[in-house]
Amino acid sequence: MPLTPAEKAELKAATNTLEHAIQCRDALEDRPSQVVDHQPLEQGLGSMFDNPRYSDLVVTCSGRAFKVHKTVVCSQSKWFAKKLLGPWASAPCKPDINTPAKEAESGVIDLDADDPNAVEAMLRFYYTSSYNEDDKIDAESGAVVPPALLNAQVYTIADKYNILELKNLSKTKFKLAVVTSLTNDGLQDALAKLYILANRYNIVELRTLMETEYAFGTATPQAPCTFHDVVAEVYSSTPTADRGLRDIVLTATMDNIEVVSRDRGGFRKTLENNPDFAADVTEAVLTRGLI
Amino acid sequence: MALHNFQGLNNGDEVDFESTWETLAASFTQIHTKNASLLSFEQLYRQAYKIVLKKKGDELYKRVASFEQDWLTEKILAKLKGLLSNALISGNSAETGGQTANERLAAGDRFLRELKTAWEEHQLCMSMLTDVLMYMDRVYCTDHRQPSIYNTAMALFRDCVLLSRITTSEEQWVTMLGVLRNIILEQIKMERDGDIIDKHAIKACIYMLEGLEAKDTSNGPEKLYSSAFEEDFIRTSHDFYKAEGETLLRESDAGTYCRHTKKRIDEELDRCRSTLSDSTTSKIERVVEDELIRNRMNDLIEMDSGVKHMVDNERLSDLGLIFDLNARVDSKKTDLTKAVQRIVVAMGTAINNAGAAASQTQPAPAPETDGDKAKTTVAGVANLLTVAAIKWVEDVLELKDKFDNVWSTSFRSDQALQTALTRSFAEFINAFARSSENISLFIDDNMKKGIKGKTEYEIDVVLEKAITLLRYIQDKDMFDRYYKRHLTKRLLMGKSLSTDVEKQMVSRMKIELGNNFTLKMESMFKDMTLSEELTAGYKEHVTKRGDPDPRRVDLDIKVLTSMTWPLEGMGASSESDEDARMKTIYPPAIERLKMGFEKYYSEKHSGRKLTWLANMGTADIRATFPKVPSKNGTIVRKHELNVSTYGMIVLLLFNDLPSGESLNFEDVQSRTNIPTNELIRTLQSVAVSPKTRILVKEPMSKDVKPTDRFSFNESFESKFAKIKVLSITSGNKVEGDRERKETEKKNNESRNHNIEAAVVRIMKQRKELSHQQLVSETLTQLASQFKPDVVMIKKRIESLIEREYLDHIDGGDSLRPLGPPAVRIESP
Repeated sequence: MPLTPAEKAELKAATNTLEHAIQCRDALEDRPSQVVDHQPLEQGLGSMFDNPRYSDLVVTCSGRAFKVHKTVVCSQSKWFAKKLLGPWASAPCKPDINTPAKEAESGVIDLDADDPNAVEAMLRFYYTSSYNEDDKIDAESGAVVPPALLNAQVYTIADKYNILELKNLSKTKFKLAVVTSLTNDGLQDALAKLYILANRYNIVELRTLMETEYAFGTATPQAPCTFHDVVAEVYSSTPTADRGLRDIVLTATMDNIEVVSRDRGGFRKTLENNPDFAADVTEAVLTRGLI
Repeated sequence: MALHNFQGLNNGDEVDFESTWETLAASFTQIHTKNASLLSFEQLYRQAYKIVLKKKGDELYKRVASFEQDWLTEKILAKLKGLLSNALISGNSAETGGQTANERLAAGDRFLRELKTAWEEHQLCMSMLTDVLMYMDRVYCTDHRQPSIYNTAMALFRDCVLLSRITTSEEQWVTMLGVLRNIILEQIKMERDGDIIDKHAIKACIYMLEGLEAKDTSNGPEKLYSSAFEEDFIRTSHDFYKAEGETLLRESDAGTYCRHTKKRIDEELDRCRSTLSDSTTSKIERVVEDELIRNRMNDLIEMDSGVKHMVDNERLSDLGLIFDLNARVDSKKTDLTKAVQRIVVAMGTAINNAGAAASQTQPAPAPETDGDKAKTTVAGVANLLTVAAIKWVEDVLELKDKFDNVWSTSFRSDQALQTALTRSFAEFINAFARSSENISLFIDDNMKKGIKGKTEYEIDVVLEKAITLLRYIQDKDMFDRYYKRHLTKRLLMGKSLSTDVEKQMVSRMKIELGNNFTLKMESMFKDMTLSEELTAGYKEHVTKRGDPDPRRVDLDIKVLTSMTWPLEGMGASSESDEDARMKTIYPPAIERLKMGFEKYYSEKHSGRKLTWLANMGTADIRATFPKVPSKNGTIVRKHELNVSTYGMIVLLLFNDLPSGESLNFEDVQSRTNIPTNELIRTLQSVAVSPKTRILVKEPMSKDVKPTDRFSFNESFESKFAKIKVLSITSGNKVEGDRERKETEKKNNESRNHNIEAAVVRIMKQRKELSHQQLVSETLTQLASQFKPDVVMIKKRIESLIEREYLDHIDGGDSLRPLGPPAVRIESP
């Protein structure tokens, strides 16, 4: 059954979109990895993380407890040093008051207010100069935390406790995760559009090709959209002047405006909840011109 | 909708901020009251972090600053004020109102210690606060270019505590800082006066002032220490040391002054280390140096107990102190150098005056022992003069030793002072007309007697001393003249104890003054060696000829190259004398000997002419006196007489004369042809001198007159087998005034030659020179020999122009040489 010219044009556009998406993905894969893991200080030191042997300090957080070493954390972090070694460790007290054992002496530090995954990443970073972003489970929801969100959380904690190297590392990882996530979304969209058309116009070869070549239709269900969570984390947990993650998010949003604004309601809600983000987007639109 | 949401978010945070601040403020109070042990560092950190994250950093910063301001004003300042008495505030120790110095010291101490504690606690609390507010410092302060909260809090301490005003009376007030300064300055004054103060408390407060910037930074950033303390400290120190310098100069001697000053400097340096700041060290050092040294050096040197006194009394360590002090403020040591030069010249001039006075001493009663009456003769006076000359040299050497010792011990072998000392010694030595002659006489004396029994090392020392003095001499040509004359007599009369030492001396002079200087002296020694060979050779020649005459006369001959030996001072001064000497009639035996040697010599060196200088020689005569009865029977009296050649000629006349006959003066002269002067001297030595009266003079008197008669003294007696007949010309002595004028005249003549030679040499080389340039170059060329008079040089140049050796170029000032080089001038 011959296709009408309008149908042909529609099909051709869909194919072009797909080709573009594939190019984007390939470019992503060809690019040399920007993530350069720091070499572990010592293989042995890395293995000491959360190892009870010689541990003289426990960091607790949302029910989890990490066994660490004062030598390591104080030498890696000014914050821990101030807490455990400075005047705070020997805070002046009136001699006759019978004071209870303090944290410094008891060897427990409670970081309850921070995200446990981020705390773990931070502590691991002290030992290995790196952290792992895959398969982290959110303590409250029990769901897998998307890498972009986790990296944003790590960035926040690195800023809070002023660990510059960790900030840089998480920023790089974050950028890669956001771009990957958005690019993949674009590819999926393009494929989906083409697949629908192939079905609609019953182009058997194309449908078969897509099913075999891209395993389309048999793939695992898509992960829930994390765009809103990421924006919320970035725009509420880092200082306004800190453009580190904000610029990455903004650029990624503008580059993939179609993908992120697919869910119009969700996008609007994101803008409403994060006024700084809304301001950034508006300014970017004014600068770049309307899409 | 979005706008509403935005507002709503902010409102929610506002409430959050107030309650969070409440918590923080309560905790800060606990920290300030040393009750922080219950606080949780991470909770406080988290609260401050959240405030900053919610864009409330500015508000938080202001609240903390205001909290600290209130705390400092209400608690700290109030407490410190309570410690101040009116006397402490006014800083006027006159207003102590019955307070003893000790009470005052204690009150000051209390204040200092309390301030120190307040400051240290403020620092500690602020460091704890800063730890908690780390996130605010990093995010808020960095982004908004605010000083860190710590620095702000330190500045608050300055403004709220130190700069707070304390009213003393109506319309009058001081700042806390002013009180602090006065207390510290007063305590330092107490320490200078010998009290013991609490250095640690002061040091802590100084640390505080050093840690704070001055509020008024219009002249660039400045520490509170410099602006609020150091200036006053330096000013009051100036006053203190100025007064102390005056008192010390009035009340103590120079040595004490030096020691005290040294102590003061050490004290101040130590005070900067232990009590004040290292940055003040150089400034306060300068103050003490200015007030106690720089402004007082001259007074110190001129004190009764000053440098002159120290030199006179060999206070070497005190002199060392003066040197150290002067060196500290003046690398050239100008003041001390001038003083020392004055002293050296004064002492040297005293020696010169003594020397001049001694040389004026005429036959006045000699201070010699009575036993030696011979010394009271004319020869005796000459001897005395020689002794005075040598004493002058020894005095100068003693002075030199004294100052050498001062220089090496007290003046730390300083180069500048050595130069100054050398200049001063040269000054007074050259001011003394007879210095060249005296130094040469000193060497002469040592060569003849002084070095006897001395070790090589000791001799070395003597030679070195002589050379040292020689270095100072400006007119080296005069010395050269005297030295050669004295050397001649030593060599010809065999007076030198050691030819080796003589040669050493000459080679030292060669090193010091150059080859030219010693050329003639060296050829003198060569003549001596050749003469020994000639003597030995002649003796062998005579023996070979087989003349076994037992009455043969032995000859010891010295053949002297003319021009090398300065014979003019030895009686060969005029042409007429020369003629007379030629005609000296020798006794036959001697005449034979003379002929024999002349023949021998002309065989060896044909074409050379020998001139016999009878006035220079000596002879040993074996004389037999008639037997006289004595206790042990009769004895044959044989004596060996050592006399001058003229003496020998005269005595031999009487050998042939029958016993009892006599000759008058004219007889003797006509038979010998000896010049009158020489004959008188010779007859004096053999007929007048008490111990060697081999002849009898009629009438007996000291003077020899032409009418006197002489005969052989048959009753001559002497205890000695060998008798030396002293000749009046035998020793080297100080010149008389007449001789001296003669010497100077001769020296000036040779200077004229030297100047002309130098002028011609220079013109030959340079071809064309201005008059001025020629004079100055001539001066330079001759400097090593003597210091010529400029007038003298100009005269010589005029003379050369007259004699057409030089010419003015085109009638201008420039000169050029004319004709062939002046060979005549170079070899007079």
